[in-house]
Amino acid sequence: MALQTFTTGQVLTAAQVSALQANDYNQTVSTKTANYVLTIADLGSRVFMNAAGATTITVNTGIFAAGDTLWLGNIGAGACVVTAGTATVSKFSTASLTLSQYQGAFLYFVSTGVAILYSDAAGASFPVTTKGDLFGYDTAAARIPVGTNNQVLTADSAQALGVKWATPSSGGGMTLISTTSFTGTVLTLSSIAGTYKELRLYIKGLYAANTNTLNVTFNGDLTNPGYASLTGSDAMNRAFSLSGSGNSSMNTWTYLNTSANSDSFLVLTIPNYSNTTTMKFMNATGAVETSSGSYTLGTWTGFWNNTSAITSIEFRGIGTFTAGSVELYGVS
Amino acid sequence: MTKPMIKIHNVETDEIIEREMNAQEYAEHLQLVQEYQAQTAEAEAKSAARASALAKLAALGLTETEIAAL
Repeated sequence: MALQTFTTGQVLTAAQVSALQANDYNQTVSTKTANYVLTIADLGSRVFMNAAGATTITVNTGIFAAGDTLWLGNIGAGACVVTAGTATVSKFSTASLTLSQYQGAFLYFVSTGVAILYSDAAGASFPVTTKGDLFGYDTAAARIPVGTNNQVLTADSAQALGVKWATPSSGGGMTLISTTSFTGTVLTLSSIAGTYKELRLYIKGLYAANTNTLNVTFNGDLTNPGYASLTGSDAMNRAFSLSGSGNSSMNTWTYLNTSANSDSFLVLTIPNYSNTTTMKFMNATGAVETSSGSYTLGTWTGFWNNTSAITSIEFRGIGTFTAGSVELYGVS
Repeated sequence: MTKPMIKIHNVETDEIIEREMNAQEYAEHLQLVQEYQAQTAEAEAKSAARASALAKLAALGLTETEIAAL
């Protein structure tokens, strides 16, 4: 029911009283479907916006008097912003002037040019819009858009909302640094970054004509004596035999495949390879096919008595490498 | 005389260089070859001595089980 003006001595009819009574619990709804500017005729009714897109309800000065109140609401999908036109529209500190769908507000005029909006859009409109979005906050509620697959939410004070989606560090994972085929008599893997916790090398199908041996050194060092221990059977001792008093840094000969078509797999592990305060330890395990078609298995360990970070690894043969490859991995 | 080849894979730049060994590298290589040959000869001598000892024990009338028990 619109605002009524009564005069002195006027006698109210039953219909007028009934209408006034009904206005307490069943106010007239004035539905808008586009941007709207409030008028004095809206007093005593509810102004509801129903639009699919964004809209505004504008509040101007000089229309309403101090103490006037209006109910506003939004039933449309588009956000509706209660906008200060020529009037000032204030709000409770955490409230929002934006009414999302099915939110409402109570507009109270302190004076003809100043209104307070009591909104149930407390804190803000609901900012998330997309599957996986999170509710964030800086000085107001804000959307944290969902990250990409396998990212993790990471605290970051440099971000406006204090968090960000980031690809997790590769802790515990293996990074393939290089793959190299064996050719020549010496193969060097150089410029190895010191950014990993461990180096791991997969040596597959290695074959060197005539000699079937392999010697491993670090940083080209052939002078620092090392020590290697050995476990395994007699066959393994023959396959992974040691030289006891030579001057090779990793003074171990390793038998390789006995033909270019035979099968072998060796794993070399070098933990803590980039530290500059201690010696370097190396462990090797593998299976090597013999000329008779059987396999020898074994574990071999050794160390390099040098505190330098390992930046290169040399594989030294006696004959020429004619088959095989090495994959170098960094383990984080 | 052609020296053995050396292959250097820079794993940071992925650059691969294949060239002959220089004089120092070749000297180091020859030293490794010497060590290997000495080691191989020692292993072969040891293996031959073992085979000879086993043959002599067998000639004395010891069975394979008795020899293995030694």
